[in-house]
Formats: sequence, structure tokens, C-alpha cells
Amino acid sequence: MRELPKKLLSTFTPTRDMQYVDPKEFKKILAQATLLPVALSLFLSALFVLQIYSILDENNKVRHSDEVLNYAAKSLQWVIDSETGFRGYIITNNKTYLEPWKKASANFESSARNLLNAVRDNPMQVKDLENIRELYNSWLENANSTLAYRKKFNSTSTDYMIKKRKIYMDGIRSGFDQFNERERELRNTRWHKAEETSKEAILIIIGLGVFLGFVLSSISLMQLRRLSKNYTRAFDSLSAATEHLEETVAQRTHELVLVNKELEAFSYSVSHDLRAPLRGIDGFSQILADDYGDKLDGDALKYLGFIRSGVQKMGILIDDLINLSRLTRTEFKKDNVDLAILTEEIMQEFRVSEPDRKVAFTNFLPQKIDADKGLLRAALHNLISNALKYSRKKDIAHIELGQSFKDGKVTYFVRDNGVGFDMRYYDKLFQPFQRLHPKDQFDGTGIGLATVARIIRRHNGMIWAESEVGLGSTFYFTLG
Amino acid sequence: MKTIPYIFLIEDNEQDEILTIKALKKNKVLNEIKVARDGAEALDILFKEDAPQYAVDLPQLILLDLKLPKIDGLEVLKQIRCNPKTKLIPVVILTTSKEDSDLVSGYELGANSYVRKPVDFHEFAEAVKNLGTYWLLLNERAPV
Repeated sequence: MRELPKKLLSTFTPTRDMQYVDPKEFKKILAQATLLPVALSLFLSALFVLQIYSILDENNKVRHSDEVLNYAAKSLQWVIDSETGFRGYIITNNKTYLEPWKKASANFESSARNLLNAVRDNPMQVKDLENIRELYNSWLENANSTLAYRKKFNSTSTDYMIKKRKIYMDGIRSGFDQFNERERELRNTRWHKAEETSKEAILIIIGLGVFLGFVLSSISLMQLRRLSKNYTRAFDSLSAATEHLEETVAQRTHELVLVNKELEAFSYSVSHDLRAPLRGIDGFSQILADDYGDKLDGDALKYLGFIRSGVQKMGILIDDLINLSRLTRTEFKKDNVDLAILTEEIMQEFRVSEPDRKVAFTNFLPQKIDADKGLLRAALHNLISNALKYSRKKDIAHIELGQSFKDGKVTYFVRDNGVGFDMRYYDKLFQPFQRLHPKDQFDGTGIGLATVARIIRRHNGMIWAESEVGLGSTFYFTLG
Repeated sequence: MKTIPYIFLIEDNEQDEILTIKALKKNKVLNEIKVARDGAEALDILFKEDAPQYAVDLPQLILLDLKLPKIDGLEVLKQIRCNPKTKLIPVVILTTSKEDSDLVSGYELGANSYVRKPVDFHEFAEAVKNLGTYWLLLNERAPV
């Protein structure tokens, strides 16, 4: 019977195929599920910013080209202004035209320098521009020579010089045309590149976003699947364990029922078969004494008496044993029992059976308790009987039945002023067939306290005792 | 001489049989005592077809042990009570068992009395004496 809880427990211990969801792994998955999207969005944001910067960069280059074209247009304008001023002076000989020319040529110089500065990273343009500047300078030289010639000879310049000037101017124009054409091409290329870059950026961000999102959701899905698989497996093994447990309980219950039945059969057999021969021994001993007493001497008769007393003790022992075993087998039924009334009834029995005893008896306080009435009666009967038995030598036996409250539980006690017992042998007190007093002083089979202990245990209670030799004993018990 | 109906002792243990008969004789019971050693034999004796006289062929009292070979005591009791010929015969269960289940079944099947055999021969003899006095002298049989 003691083995049973252990066996039941064994079904709780996890078997090898039992899977648990590792809390560490769960934390890891949780962290991944939180951190991965955050990291991903940070990464995508950074990428986005980078792409925006590269788009801006390309746009800046386009704007730069625009600026260059602008400068070029202005420079050309100054060239034209120079020529216009020069031509106006030549035609009208009015010196007011000289001023715009001088201004235009100065402006061209600074404008050309700006332009040169703007395209210095492009050697072709620089070369063209240098060429234009050279042409312009040649034109200026030519113009100045023309002016000097005019002052000196008061006549228009030679055809050669005019022709030459025209060549310079045409060179400048075509130089600017070429310059502008190239810069425009450059601008277009840059514009295309900016456009491409924008498209690329959008494609990369969308593509990467979708791809990473897909990867992320795949990872999450995988982890969720694994987690769910683990949970399912854990749940399955748990329900299998539960089922197994139920099976085990059912099986054990069945076994218990069988064992109980066997025990019942055994005890029936014991009570019937063990007593029958005893009756024979006792009966025929008596018949020998009765019918053949005249043929037997005194010793023989005495021995026959010993045989009979031994047999009778054995009979009582068997009966006690049967009662003890019956206690654990009978159905346990809790009732509302009035403790005071129950003990009063028991005391009344003793008053009848031992009318000469002087007993000062204190009863329990009236209290209703939940207990099996029959069993509790047997327990109290034993305790009171013991108290009476061991206080037999006192003139007045004091038997006190009381209760005390401790830790919210009621402790009942039965106290006597009898011979008491030696606490050194306490561990034998509640063992069956153990006696702490010689039989010739106090009769009994040593089964009474074992019976009481068994009854209290069936009530989920506890029993213990205190005693001092010569002063009496107190037996304490609780009920569930 | 007036015929006295017999006492039917159904008992498998020879020593118990001797002790019971001894106790009956000691208490001056004059009835014939028939003994059956097992349930089957008991039923054979009770239900034999050619019973000319109820008064002599049927016992005045049946002392029945419960633990019997072949057919056990409770089954014997059941058949006694089922048969119109024997259903009114007083049956006293005289057994070693005092299991509650035996007591209940015994009375349920119609036993008139249930006595547990004591180990002490004095007590046993006293019990048998009381049984004899009560069932053979005081108690009136049901008329045929």
C-alpha cells in the first residue's frame, strides 16, 4: 500500500520522448521577433537616406551644368556686348560706345574665370574655354589695333583685320556653341543618371524591403511553426501522460480492489479456519478433564488448564487481529458525531461492566465533529479502556477528556493518572502486539493502540502521547 | 415410544461435530442427531423423494455451518427455503464466521438464528444448551 503513491508519481516524471518548450528558446524567438523588424526598418531607413543623398548629388550635378550653361550664356553675352560696343564706336566714332565695350570685356574676363572655375574638372571644356579666351583676347587685340589704326590714319581698318576679327568672333561663337553643346549633353547625361538613380533607389528600396520582409516573415513563420510544433508535442505528451495517469489510477484502483478482496477472503479464512482447531483443542481438553479427570493426577489437570488458557488467549488474539484488519477494510463514512454524547455512552458501558471502580471522569466539551461514528467509538473505547486499565491501582482514577486549540486545529486528549509508561519505549507504543507492561499486571493483546492509531490515520489525523512513569499518560489526537 | 423428530447437523469438521453432539447430549437432548458432512449430502438427505412421514423424515431443527465442501451453507439455506417441504424448518446458523456479510446474507436467506461458535468449550456448551432449550422445548414448530 505504501508503494502506491511512489508508483503513481513515477508516471509524472517526464519520459525521453516528452518535449518541453524551452523558456530560453521562447525568449530568443520573442527577441528575434521584436529586434529583427526594428533592425530591418533601421537598415531600410539608412539605405533610403543614402539613396536620397545620391539622388540629390546627381541633381546637384544637373544644377551645376545649368549654372555652367548660364555662365556660358552670360560670357557669350559679354562677348556680344563687347562686339556691339566696339562696332558702335567704329561706326559712329562716338566715344560713349567705348564705355560698354570696356565694361563688357572686363565682365567677360571675370565671367570666363567663373566659368573656368566651374568646369575645371572637365579638361575638354577647360580646353575649349581656354581656346575661347584666347580667341577673345586675339579679338581684343585686333579691336585695339583697329582703334589705334583709326586714331593714327583716321580710316577704317584693313580688310585683312576685319576678316581676321570676323574669324575670331566666329571662332568664339562656334567655341561657345561647342562648349554649350557638350555641357548640354553632359547635363542631359546627368539628368538621365539622376533619373536612373531615383528609379534605382525606388526599385532597390522596394525590392529590398519586399525581400527582407519576405525573409523576416519566413523566419517568423518558421519559428512560429517550430514553437507551435513544440507546444503541440508538449500538449500531446501531457495529454498522453494524463491518459496514462488515468489508466494507471484505474489499474491501481482495480488492483487495490482485488487485493482488498483477497485480503477479505484471507481474513475470512483466518477467522474461520484458525479458530476451528482452537475450539477442538479447548473442547477436547475440557472433555478430558471432565470425563477422564479421575484417571489424571493434579499436574495433568493443571497442564490441561494451561492448554485451555493458551488456546483462549490465541482465540482473543485472532479476534483482535481480525478486528484490526477489518478497520482498514470497512467502508469509511463520515457523520456528524457529538463527541461528548459518544464518550458518555462509552463511559456508561464501563460503569456497568466495572461497577466497583471509583472514577472521576471529565468529558469533552459538547462538540459536533465529522467522523466515522463506528470507528471513532472504537478508538475512544480503546483509549478510555486503557486509561481505566492502567489507573486500576489508584484509589480514584482521574480520567480527563479534553480539547485544546492549536494552529487553528482542535487537539483532543485523553488523560489518566495511571502508571504511565517509559517514554524511552515510545516508538513501540502504537505498534501492534507490542506491550510496554507485563501481561500478568495488565492484560491485553497489545493491539488496542495500534487499532486507535489506524482509526485516527483513516481520519487523516495524528496521534501522539506523553507520559511519566507513575504519574499517568496523556494521549493526544487530531481528526483530519 | 413416541418418535421424536431428529436434529440435523450440517457440519464438515469432525471435531466440531463431536463437540456439538457432546454438548447436546450433556444437556439431555434425546433427539436423534443426523449429520451431513457437506452441502450436497445435506440436500440429498433433506430432499429424498420417499419421505413417508414429514414428522420423522424432516428434522425439527437444522444446525447449519456456513463453510461447507461442495455446496456452501448459504446455498443449502437458500434451497431449504425454496422448497415448500422444508421452508418452515427452523434453521440456526452455527458457524465460526462473524463477518457482517455472512450475517446479513444468512438472515436475508431466512435463517432463524445466527450463533457464532465460541473457542471456549464452556461457552460453546452453554450456547448449544441454550439453542436446545429454546428451539427444541420452547419454540413451537409450524404445523404441517
